[in-house]
Amino acid sequence: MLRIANLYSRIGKGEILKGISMHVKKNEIVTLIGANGAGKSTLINTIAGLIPAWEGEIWFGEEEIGRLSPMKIVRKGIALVPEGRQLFAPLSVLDNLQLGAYPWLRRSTQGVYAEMLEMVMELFPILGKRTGQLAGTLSGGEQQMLAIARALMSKPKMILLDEPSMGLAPRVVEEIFGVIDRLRKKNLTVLLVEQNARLALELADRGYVVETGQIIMEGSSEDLRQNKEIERAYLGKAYKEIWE
Amino acid sequence: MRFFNLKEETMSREEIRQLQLERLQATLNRVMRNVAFYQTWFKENNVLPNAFRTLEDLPRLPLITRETLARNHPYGMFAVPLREVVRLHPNLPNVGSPFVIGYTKNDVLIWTKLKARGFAGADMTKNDLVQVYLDYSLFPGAVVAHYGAEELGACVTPLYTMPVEDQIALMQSYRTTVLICTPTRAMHIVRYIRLNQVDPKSLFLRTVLLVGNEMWSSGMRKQIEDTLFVDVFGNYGVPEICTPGVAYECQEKAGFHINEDHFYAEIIDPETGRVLPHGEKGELVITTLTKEAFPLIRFRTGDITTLLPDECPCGRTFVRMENVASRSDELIIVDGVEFVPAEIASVLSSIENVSSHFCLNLLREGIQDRLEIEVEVRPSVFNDKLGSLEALRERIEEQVYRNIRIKPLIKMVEPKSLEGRERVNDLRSEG
Repeated sequence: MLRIANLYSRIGKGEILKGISMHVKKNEIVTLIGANGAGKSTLINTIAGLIPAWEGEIWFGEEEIGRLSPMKIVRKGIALVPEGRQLFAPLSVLDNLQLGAYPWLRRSTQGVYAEMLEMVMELFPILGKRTGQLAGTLSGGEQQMLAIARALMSKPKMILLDEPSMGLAPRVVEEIFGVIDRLRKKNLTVLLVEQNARLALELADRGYVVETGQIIMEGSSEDLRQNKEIERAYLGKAYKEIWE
Repeated sequence: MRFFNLKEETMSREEIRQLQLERLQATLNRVMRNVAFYQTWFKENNVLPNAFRTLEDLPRLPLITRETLARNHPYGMFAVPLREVVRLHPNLPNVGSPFVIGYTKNDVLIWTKLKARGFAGADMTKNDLVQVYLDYSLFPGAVVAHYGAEELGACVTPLYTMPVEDQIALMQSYRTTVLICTPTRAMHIVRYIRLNQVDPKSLFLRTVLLVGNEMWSSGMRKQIEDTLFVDVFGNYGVPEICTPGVAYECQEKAGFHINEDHFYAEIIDPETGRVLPHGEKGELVITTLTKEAFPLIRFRTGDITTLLPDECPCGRTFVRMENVASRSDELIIVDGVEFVPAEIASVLSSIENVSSHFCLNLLREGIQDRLEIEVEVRPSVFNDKLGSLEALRERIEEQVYRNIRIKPLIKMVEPKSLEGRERVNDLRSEG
C-alpha cells in the first residue's frame, strides 16, 4: 500500500532522513521504533507532506505522492495524528471532528460525514458523551482519542500515528492501543511511531528500527522482540557492557 | 503443491525487490555501525552504506572470499557481542581456511523456518517419519534439517552413527517415509540394496532429501529414484552462511528456489568478478539480508551455477538456480569431508623423505568413497628395510587423517614417476 525508496529529508540545514526504504502492506500495523531524534517523526511528517522530501520516492498504491501537498495527501487517503495531539482546544469535540471531515463537508458528501461520525462514535463511545465539551478541557487520554477520531473523520485508508502514548498514564495507554488494534478490524492500515517499543512491538505486525535517519533493522515484531540489540537499546532488558 | 508460507513464497517480484532493498540497506547500515571490519572495508572502498540506492549498486563493493573470513577469524566479522550468540559452527580444526559462524536466537529460528520451507516444498508433511542419516558432529546442517522437519510437525529419528545396513533395517522396522542424507550416503544405500538384493518394496520411503555440499547429478538422482522408488529433492547451502537453507528444490525438480527474502544472489564471472545477467553461467555470490550475528556481503561461494530467469510452474516467485555442476576453486569432497589439494601438500611437506609431488585419486570401493594419495618419496627409502617403508606409509596415513579427517590409501612411488599426471583424478563412476 505504501512504499518508500531512498527517502531523504532535511529540517533547516540538517539532513534528518538519509536514505529510508520501507513499506506497509494493506491492513498491516507497522511500527517505527528508535531513540529521540532518530528521525521517526520526520519520516511520518514527510509521508504526510508536512516536510518536503528532498530525494526519493513515496508511493501510495499506484501513485507517487512524494511531491504532493498535505491536503492532496489527505484526499488520497492518508491521515496523520500528530505528536502532542494538536487539537483545537477552544473548540468543542464535535467542531474538532467536523474539521477532520473537511473533505466531506460539501452538501453532496454529507452522507460520508454522517457515516464517519457514526463509526467514530462507535469506536470512542466516551466522545459521544462529550460532543459539546471543549477539547481543551478533556483528559489526556480523551484528547488522544479525539485526535485519532478527528483523523478518522477524513475517511482514510491509512493512518499515521505519532507517539500516541506520550504523556499518558499506563492504563490510558493500554486503552489507546486497544483502539489502534480495533482500527485493523475496520480495514485500516496503520503506521505507528512509538517510543514505547515494547507496547508497539506487541501490537504491530512488523517494525523498523530507525537510528540517525537510517533503518538499521527490520522484521516481524516477533523477530524484533527476540533481538538482543533491541532489547538492550529499547526494551530496557540489559545494559551494554563497556567491552562491547 | 505444498507451501510452508504461501504469502512469503509467492510475493510479486516487485515486493521481493522492495524487501531485498530494505533488508540490504538495513544490513549495510548495521554492519557499518557494529563491525570494525566493514567500517574499514567501506572506508577503503570510499563508499558509504547510503550510496546503495538499488540492488544493482551492490557491485560497488568488492567480493568477500574465504581468505577474508580466515584473516578475521574467529570473531572479527561478528556483528553482535558473543553473549548474544546461541550457536557456533566452526569448521574442523586444521581443515581448510578457518572460519566460525555464529548464530543468534533469531538466526537459528529463521534458519529452521527456511529449512521447513524447503522440506514443505518437497512435500514433507507432519505425517512423515523422517530418518536423518547425517553426522551431527561433522555437518552443522544436520541439526537444522532435524529442527526443520520437526517445525513441520514430522516425526524425526536421528540415526546418524549407524552403518548403512542398520539404517536400512531401521527404515524397514519403523516405516521411515523420508530420508535426509548426503548424496554419498544415498548412493551407499542404493549400492547396498543392489549388492545385497534387498527388496526396495520392503522400505516405505517416498522421499529422499539430499543435503550437504557434495555435487550430484541428474544421473545420480535417477539411480536413487529408480532403485528406491522415491522422489529425490536437493537442498543447497553454503557452510559460511547456512547449509542447507539457501535454496531448495520444489516438486517440479527444475532448479533450486533461492530464499530471496533472506539472501540476495548474484552471478559473477569467476575470472573478472564482473556481474553476469540471469541465464549466464558463473560463480554464485550471496549477500545475507537478515543474518544478525554473521552477516556477509557479496560472499563468493565458489559454486558454479546459473540463475534461471523464467517463472516456475509451482507458483513460487523466488528465482531458481541450477544444481551446482562445478566449483571455481579446487575444493574436493570425499564422503562429506571437504579439503583442497593444498592442505594435502602442506601435510606432506611436514614429513621427512617425502617430496612435494603427489596425485590425488578419488576412488569408489564397493559402497565407500576412498582417497588414494600417490606420492613421490626419496629413492633411499626403497633401499631401506621393508619395515621403514611401512613406517613411512603409516606416518603419512596418520598425518593426513589427523589433519583432513580422511583415512587415505597411500601409494609411494619413485621420483619423477608422477610427471605429467593430473593433480586430482576423480575416478568415482556413478555406477
